[in-house]
Amino acid sequence: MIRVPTARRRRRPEEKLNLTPIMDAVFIFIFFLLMSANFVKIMEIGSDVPILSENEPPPPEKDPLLLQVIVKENTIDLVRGANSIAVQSFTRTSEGTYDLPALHARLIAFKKEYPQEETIILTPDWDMPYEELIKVMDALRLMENTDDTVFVKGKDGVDEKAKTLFSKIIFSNLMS
Amino acid sequence: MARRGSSRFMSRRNRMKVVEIDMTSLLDILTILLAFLIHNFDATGVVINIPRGIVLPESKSISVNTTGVSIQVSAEKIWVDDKLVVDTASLPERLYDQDGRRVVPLFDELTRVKEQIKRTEKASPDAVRFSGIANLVVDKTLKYSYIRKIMFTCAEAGFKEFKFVVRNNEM
Repeated sequence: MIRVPTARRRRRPEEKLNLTPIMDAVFIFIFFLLMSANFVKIMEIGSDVPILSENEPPPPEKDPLLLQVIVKENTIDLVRGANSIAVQSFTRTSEGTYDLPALHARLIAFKKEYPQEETIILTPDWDMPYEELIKVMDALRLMENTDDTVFVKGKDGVDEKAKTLFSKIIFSNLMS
Repeated sequence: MARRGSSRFMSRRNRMKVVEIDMTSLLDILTILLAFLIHNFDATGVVINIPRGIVLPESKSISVNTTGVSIQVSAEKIWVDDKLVVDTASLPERLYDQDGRRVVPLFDELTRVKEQIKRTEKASPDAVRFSGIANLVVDKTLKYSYIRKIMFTCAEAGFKEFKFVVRNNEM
């Protein structure tokens, strides 16, 4: 015997899964996690080992730059040339930090004069903390957006904006 | 015999309602996650482990990392590719040589790693070549006099290029 559908069955409400509140909660939770997460960007600063050679040095260029930065306890000395001619000495600021902005500005002036030069010799102080050394290296290597524009000859001979200052840092007292 | 659609079957079909799931919020979450992951994606593939006890110095450098042998240096320990080689808790009999400039256990391990890479080079033409790159993962509080010993040891072991691993503070 066929059962006739009853009116009670028809009255049963339609079952629909309402996921909106839980989705909202998860959305806020993920947003909060992403905002509070600390994504660290790891980068590098390159430096080559100085080459010690007993061979005769190549004939010197006409007026080579040979910039050297000597970091001492209270000053940073900037010298140039094969005869180490003193250019300028930068003392610590009143806050106790090295005057890196002044050093950086002086190096930009040299970069304008010698745009193709990339090498600089660094002589750090023995007791210098690594953190401070990295700051000095940043001042030697990088061009800031606020710096004067320096143009260098590109590979195809066309002038282009210099992206780095003196990017090849050689430690002078490494092998001694 | 073909079944004719009776009112009885129609009513049963009507009763089998499909449950609808609102996907809008889920798609919102996935879109934000995707955008965030793409933004933070690192395509270099270089994995550098920073052990406990090492806090990297901050830098404005934007040069991406290069593959090489990692030398991790904290105030108390030195690791080579995560293998502990020096621990101040159990110092070897001879820690330094060459007038205190070279760290002996570090030199031995670096030489071993270099020889291993060179052996692999010979065994397979597709093997990774010895690049001579030393990735220096050094704690920011250490002094240059100590870091110089590490660099000197690396140079003596045949690593001619240093990469100071730093934390970028401007991204």
